[in-house]
Amino acid sequence: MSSNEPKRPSEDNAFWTIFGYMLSGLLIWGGIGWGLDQWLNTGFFLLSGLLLGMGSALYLVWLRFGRK
Amino acid sequence: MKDNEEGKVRNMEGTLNLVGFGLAAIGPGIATGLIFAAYINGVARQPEARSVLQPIAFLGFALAEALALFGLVLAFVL
Amino acid sequence: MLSYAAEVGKDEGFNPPDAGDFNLPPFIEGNEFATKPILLVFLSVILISIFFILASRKAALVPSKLQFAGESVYSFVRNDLGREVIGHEFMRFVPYLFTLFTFILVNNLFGIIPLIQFPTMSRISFPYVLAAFTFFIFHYVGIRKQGFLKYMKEIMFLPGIPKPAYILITPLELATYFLVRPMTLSLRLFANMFAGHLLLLVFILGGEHLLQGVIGLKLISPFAFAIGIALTFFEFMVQCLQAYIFTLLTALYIAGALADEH
Repeated sequence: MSSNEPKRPSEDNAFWTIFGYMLSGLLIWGGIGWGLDQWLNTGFFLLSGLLLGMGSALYLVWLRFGRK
Repeated sequence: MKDNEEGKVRNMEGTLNLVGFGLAAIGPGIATGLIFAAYINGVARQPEARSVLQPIAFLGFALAEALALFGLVLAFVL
Repeated sequence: MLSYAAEVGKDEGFNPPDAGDFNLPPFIEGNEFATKPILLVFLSVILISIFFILASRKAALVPSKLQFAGESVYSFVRNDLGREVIGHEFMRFVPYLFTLFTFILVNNLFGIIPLIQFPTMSRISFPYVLAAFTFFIFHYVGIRKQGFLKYMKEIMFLPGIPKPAYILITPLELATYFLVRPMTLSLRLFANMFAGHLLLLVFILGGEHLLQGVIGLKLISPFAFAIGIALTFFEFMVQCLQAYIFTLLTALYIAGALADEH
């Protein structure tokens, strides 16, 4: 009756997990960059924060799903 | 913008950023569709290739998704 | 940002439906809790209870049609969402998953049932509360299973990467687990129901408005109604899908919290 392992392949999990990682990468690092911009009256922290967040989110996705 | 004299044209306010985001989302949408179409095709033809194809498909999906989310965020912050 | 509706008077011309149409006034004067969404939530609880009590009252080996319907919903949730996703400990979570699925499904379907026609989940408070339940349950399950420190360590530190990378990765993991997951869970359900209801309003009210125009516009209005009816069936699909996705993601999060290592 009961199996020991979840039988479903990881596709539907991975789809939403990747989406969540990308979104939180942009929100966290982009948010930090935006805050620095507001604080220091500059304009480039937001963009670099977004790029950094996107880069680290892609790195995390590669760590989780890319390397085998 | 208020109504004009005839009252025919209703006022439309808002930001063109969201129209831009709508346009920018077309590309990643098509890309995601192509990626998963190719992935499903490959797995259907050769089921044992799944473990090889899966990381590639997910990384491709993540890259396409990155562009869509960039558009979303920039539509709000710019 | 989009404030066109605020200044449009309700006197003449076509008033496009907007977010204000979701703000239904209370039907008892002065009692702000007596609104249609609240009434619909109680109605959904009553309907679900009556249906499943009737379906399971005379359980027989050869099921009646009602019993068959009730049992197929239950076995769908138990097998496809519970056992397939969570694994061998699934039986503990089936009551919650089943409640969640039927509750969201019935409340979504209120959006296309004639004479009711208001999806309860298009008021954002309800998805917030449901997502909060899921949030607390999956963290509670993970902490109970592994202990607080080990659970947090597992979330924050992915094994096998160079040390400096943790500066980049750890905030992302924390934000994903504690911010993005409940946020996307509630907003996905809310946005789908909100947009779907707005879409139906646009076509039905637009068709009605065209009907009052000149003869040329009258000829166009059947098309608007036809698209409205077609979209109603489309909405039926979306509503079932959203109830399924909400429950599936809840099961996936619980399964992730139960798993010993990633």
